[in-house]
Amino acid sequence: MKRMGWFLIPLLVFAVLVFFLARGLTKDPKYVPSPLVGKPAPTFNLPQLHDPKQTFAPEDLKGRVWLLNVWASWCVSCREEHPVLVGFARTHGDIPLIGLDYKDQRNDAIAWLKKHGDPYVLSVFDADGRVGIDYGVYGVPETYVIDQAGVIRYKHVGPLTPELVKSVIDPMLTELQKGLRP
Amino acid sequence: MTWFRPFIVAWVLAVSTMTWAGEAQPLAQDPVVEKRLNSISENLRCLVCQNESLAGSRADLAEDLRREVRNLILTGKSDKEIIDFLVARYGDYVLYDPPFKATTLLLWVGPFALLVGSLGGLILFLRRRARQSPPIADTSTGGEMADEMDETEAALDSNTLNHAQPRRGRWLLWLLLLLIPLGAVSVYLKVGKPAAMNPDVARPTPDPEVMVARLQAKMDANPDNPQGWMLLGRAYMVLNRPQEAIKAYDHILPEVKKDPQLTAAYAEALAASGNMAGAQLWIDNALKRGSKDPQIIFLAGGLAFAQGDNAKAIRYWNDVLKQLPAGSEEARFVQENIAEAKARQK
Repeated sequence: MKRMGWFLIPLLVFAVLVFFLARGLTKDPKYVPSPLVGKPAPTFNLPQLHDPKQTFAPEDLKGRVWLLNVWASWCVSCREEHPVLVGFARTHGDIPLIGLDYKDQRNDAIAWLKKHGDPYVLSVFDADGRVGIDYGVYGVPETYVIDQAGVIRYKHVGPLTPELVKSVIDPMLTELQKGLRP
Repeated sequence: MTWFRPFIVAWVLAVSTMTWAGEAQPLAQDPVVEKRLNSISENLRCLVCQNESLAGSRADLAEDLRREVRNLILTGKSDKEIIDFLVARYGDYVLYDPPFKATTLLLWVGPFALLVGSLGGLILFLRRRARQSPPIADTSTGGEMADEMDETEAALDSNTLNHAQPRRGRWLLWLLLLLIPLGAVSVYLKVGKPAAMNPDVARPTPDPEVMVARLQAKMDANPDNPQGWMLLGRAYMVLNRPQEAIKAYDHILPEVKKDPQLTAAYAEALAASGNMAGAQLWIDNALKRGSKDPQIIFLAGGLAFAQGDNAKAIRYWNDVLKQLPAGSEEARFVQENIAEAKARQK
């Protein structure tokens, strides 16, 4: 039996390997953990999509919990996500949803919103993607939950789904808003 | 008129940074900056195509990030500051060479732990086997092969003394420890490319001819892209191939007519290919339309100079000079030309 013990070691090593490889299979290799979660949202001052003369800065929403959604009219997944955002805006009147129109053409973007509905309080226009880089954007759409202090609490890469809104974002928003009214 | 070509190309390159800013990626860039950009971005991962480095990827985001890195280099940031800038936004994930910290402990120590563990296991196993008395037939293993081996071992053992047996195991161990790395190194020397370890040698700078050929193929497949033809035309001029440049510009003649800079580029290509009359026609038309574009006026001067009309050339070039910031490289270049024309007047 003592001899047998030695032969079990490779088996054990194999089992550990299988465990890690199997775990790896369930993970999305494209997922990049953001170092920005828990850090203050990078500041910017960008012209608004519909009115370039007006600008928006994250500081404008200090004291409120809000969502920043990165989108573009050229982005296919954004269309998939869009109804979810429209639904979100309808049921979450107290949470400002700000759009960051990323590397887009202004006319295309405005036409896109006209066609598919505009869930955003306002969208800002990031023509060259500079602000996108500050936010670590690497795959549109992306969504950020930002708290009263202007800290990024959550980041989601890829289209939002109703399930995700229900299971992750809603509880988080409730939790964050509780902080506002103790 | 062969003198005309290098002369014009030099001029266009000199002003390109000024007039083409904000246009498609300029071809001629500061080689020092580009070299640093390359050495930094080679060790960074493209977030979209994760198996590509930032240097090698053609993804949109990679291009944006390279532009960002280039700007940071130009503002005098150190390599470390630039890498920190990207890590702050995209995390350690952008690094192909992640830092040593708690979350990466397994990554860094794992392979060595595995090596030490398996070597330890091997040593224990060999010592154990050596201690066992081989002549006793091991019925549990069975098989011809095992029997044969046992026989050989028995034969060998019969020639050696019993107390020498543990040493045999150790001897084998040392032999393996020596042979395996030696074998690995010799195989590497035989089939490997040690030069590949030097990043400068490993990645030769892309051949501009190849890059232009690639762009040409892309444009042929998808010709509805004025920016692309423009870039291709400029690229051919840099490669001293005005005929091909003209062909590229011919695809976008309406744009060429509208844009004075493009008109200048087209006329320059015509002049460089020897078609002075054609160049003159385009420049004259642009001037007739009231163009004040410095490249147009400069070319008008160049054409006058080519025809031996030095006074006219000087007049045009003085006009250009007024538009250029005093003391700038372009201004100096124009002044040199004026001086040359003046010298010819005498």
